[in-house]
Amino acid sequence: MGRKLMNGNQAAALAVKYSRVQVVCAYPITPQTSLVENIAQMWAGGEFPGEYVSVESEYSALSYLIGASYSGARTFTATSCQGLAYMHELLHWAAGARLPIVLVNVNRALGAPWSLEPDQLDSLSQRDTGWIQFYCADVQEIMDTLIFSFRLVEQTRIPCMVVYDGFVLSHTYEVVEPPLQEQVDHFLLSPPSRAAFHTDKPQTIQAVTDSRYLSRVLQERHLSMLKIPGIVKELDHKFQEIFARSYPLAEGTNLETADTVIVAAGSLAQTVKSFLNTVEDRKEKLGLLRLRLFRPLPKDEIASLLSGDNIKKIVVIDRNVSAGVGGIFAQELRALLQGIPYRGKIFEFNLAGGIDLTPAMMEKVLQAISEDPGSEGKIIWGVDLQ
Amino acid sequence: MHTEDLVEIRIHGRGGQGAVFAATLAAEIAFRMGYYPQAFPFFGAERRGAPVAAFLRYSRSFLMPRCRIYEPFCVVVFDAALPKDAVVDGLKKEGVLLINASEDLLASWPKIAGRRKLYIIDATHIAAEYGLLSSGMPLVSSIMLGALVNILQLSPLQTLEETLKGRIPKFERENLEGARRGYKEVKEVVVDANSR
Repeated sequence: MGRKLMNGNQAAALAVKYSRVQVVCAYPITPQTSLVENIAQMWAGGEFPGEYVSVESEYSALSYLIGASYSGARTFTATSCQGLAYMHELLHWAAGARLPIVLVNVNRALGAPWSLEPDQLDSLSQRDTGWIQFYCADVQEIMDTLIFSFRLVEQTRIPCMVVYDGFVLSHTYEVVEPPLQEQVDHFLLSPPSRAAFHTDKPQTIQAVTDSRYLSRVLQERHLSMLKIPGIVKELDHKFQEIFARSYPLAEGTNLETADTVIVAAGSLAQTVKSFLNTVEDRKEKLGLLRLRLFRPLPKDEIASLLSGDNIKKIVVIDRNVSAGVGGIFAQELRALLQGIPYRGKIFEFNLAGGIDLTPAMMEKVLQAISEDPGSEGKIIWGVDLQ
Repeated sequence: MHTEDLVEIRIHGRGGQGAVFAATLAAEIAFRMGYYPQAFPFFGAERRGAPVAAFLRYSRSFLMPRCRIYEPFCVVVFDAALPKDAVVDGLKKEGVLLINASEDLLASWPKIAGRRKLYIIDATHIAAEYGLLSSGMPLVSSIMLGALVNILQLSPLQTLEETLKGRIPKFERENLEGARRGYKEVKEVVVDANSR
């Protein structure tokens, strides 16, 4: 199929169709709405052969998928902000039960107050639920990461959340190369046949356990999660063979020469990357580290990307804030850098509330850190630089 | 028409007028002409009649910023009664302004345009000729799109027609004719230097 113009939500809906998902259950919420509308439309028109089930809430949507996944079906849901928060309890359950569910979260600020801005706190505040999390940087990557995730979850039995910025990616039309059905069929496993649950064979599952057994379950989940970066790398080779596109765990640009490295996730990274390409004659040598796989955090990969002696300053961009602590990506990076001999400075640049990152603002933040060495340890707020 | 590799356009209209639709189709045309486009709406809930904005950028390179457009090269105005200062905010000094207006109803637009190029097309009048109306609101998007494609020299008329075909479920013939009229009838307003 030739290249086409589509937005992030349309690309996600197509990925669900190509992945031959058997059960989709969701509740609409801006800016996710057009994603589930697209699937519902394909379903109504007979193009999507799976089940599309409408329910009255996000809580019910994930509950429904937990049941469907127990019975062996390939399942998908999508949500955003308040909707993801409403699923919280069941996110833990799905991960604990090792159910291979794939979920899209379109980043949107949590209320109060109401907002439609692409703040990242909705998905980041679910980081400890035991789900894999990918942050996508463009529309092609949304489609590819979703297809990839169905294979990843069924191979590892760890659920996966594919995250992208509301409006900036969900509603932006750009050029995408859709896959061929044969390519997707070749990449994915046969639909799961291992049904834990059947009405002909009643059984009790997830019964009450003691700490000794539970601790083993949690230990095993942790160890399985640690294997994810390696498995993602392996599967990426296979993905590349079939689709001729490849995605890193974390992406480095100019890291061998940079003295100042910007760290960013999602579509923000592309604004930074285009900034790197267009600015000339700077006194700083700039580089970029894009975070893509966030749970589990690929520590070895990131540590090796940031290990060069040339790196003197790291500026972490967060479009979220953990009140009283700071940006979540910055905290994660600080913890990770404890383990390597990095002696440079770490700066926090915060765009909480969905502040738009412009090239002009990039200039201002670089100026702020070069003029005021004391800005290390303080948060530089994007809203103050506008 | 534009010197930089990256072209950024902002479209201002009212909810229901098709500003987002026009931006998306212009992106499709840019794609057909070998560019990498990005088309996106203003982030928010749309209400019929309320001021809305849509954005379009295109370049020969995929690598473009992903922010909203604050300093456009081109501003397109679907409704000349929208607040003028807000719609031209950030418009580049060497930029261009395209207004849905007739020559006798230009009001203060030439003054607002200053030294920038000012183009007009009477899209409301053309829409009425073809019965392009929805709940009494003129549907000017294909006419404005035709005018925009011409002033940007984005594509030949044929590419515009090919892109529109099959994309408009209702009034396809009328919209195609409207786009042709927009493409052909858009004109630059030459303002007396003293009146600026």
